[in-house]
Amino acid sequence: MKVIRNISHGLFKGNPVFITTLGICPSLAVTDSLTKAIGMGVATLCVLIFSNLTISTFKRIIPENMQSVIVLLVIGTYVSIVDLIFKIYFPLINEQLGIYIPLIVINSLVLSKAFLYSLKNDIGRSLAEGIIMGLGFIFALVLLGSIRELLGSGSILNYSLVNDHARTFLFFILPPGAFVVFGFMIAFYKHYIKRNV
Amino acid sequence: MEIFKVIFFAFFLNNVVLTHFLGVRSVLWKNDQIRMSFITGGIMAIIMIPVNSINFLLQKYILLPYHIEFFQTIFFILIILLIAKIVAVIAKKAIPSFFRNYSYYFHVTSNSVVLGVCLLLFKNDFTLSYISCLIYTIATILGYTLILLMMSAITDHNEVSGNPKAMQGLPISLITIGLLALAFIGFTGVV
Repeated sequence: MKVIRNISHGLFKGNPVFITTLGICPSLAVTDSLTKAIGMGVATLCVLIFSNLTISTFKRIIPENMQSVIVLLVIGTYVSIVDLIFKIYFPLINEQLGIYIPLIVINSLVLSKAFLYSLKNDIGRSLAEGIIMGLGFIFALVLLGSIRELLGSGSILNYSLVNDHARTFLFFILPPGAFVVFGFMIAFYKHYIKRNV
Repeated sequence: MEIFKVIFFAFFLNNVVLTHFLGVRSVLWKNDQIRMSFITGGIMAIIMIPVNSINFLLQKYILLPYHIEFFQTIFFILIILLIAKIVAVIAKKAIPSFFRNYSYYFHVTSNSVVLGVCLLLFKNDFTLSYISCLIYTIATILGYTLILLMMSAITDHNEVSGNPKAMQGLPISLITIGLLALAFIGFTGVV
């Protein structure tokens, strides 16, 4: 029961993207199709879990004045591993995501969880926080990606729902659509979900 | 003529904030003083020009010849951290009162413009010369400063214009910058 409550907190009332607005850059950039959004979400989840685990394991032997270098090195190593795995097994998604997989290194969600959470809490709590926040991030990306793909190209997961001659809102898969949809989603979360906290 | 093409491309057509979404956080977050945007742009320029010079040499003479491109991310982030630290130390000694007031603006490692521009420039099959890399970097910083300036002016106005409660703050800024991006699409096809 507690697990379900924690996960639903990560998805709704403590959503990392819509409530605390961490990781804005990837959630705007990769959500023009649902496939890209899921790929980015899974990559971030893997990096978040492993970096939290490593940093909270070695938090006692990291010197105070070397924290930023070591944390960035740990995250950078895991990002490189995820990048190589994506390059081998999912070359198409990796090509579409482009520079945004290496940019996970300075994703503010990963950085803030590493600096403000894993350096202060034990291994189990850090792991749980990583999984919950990663699932919340995937949920936000899937929500934005499905709205934008449905309106912008009339399809879901590249399966077309309209006929070939139909006109769709091109605005939503262009960069301006990302900003506008994201702005309205944050306003929706603020109005309907955050006020009950 | 090439130089003007590169500058126009980086400034209007392919603005880092509006098309690649780099540095959106710094543009949207508590950005309400016009003077601050010039200071941010200046510090970014001071840090990004040496970073891109070193990364150019690194990519051309170490990473590509020895086929260790997968170390790119780690090397780039370490160089950025190093240069940002050196600039902060020098500024602390040279202009202490300025550094005390604006020390927050020297933390640029987590600003995705710096790493993002490096990754955009130095792909695995790059053939650019050093001069065009430098011009692209400067034009990118100018474009970033332009968006900072515009958004700080608009945010100033938005705060007093009585929006609905849920829309105040980040949502209305995001919708504003979306309309700005739509306007910038109008430059497509000029070059």
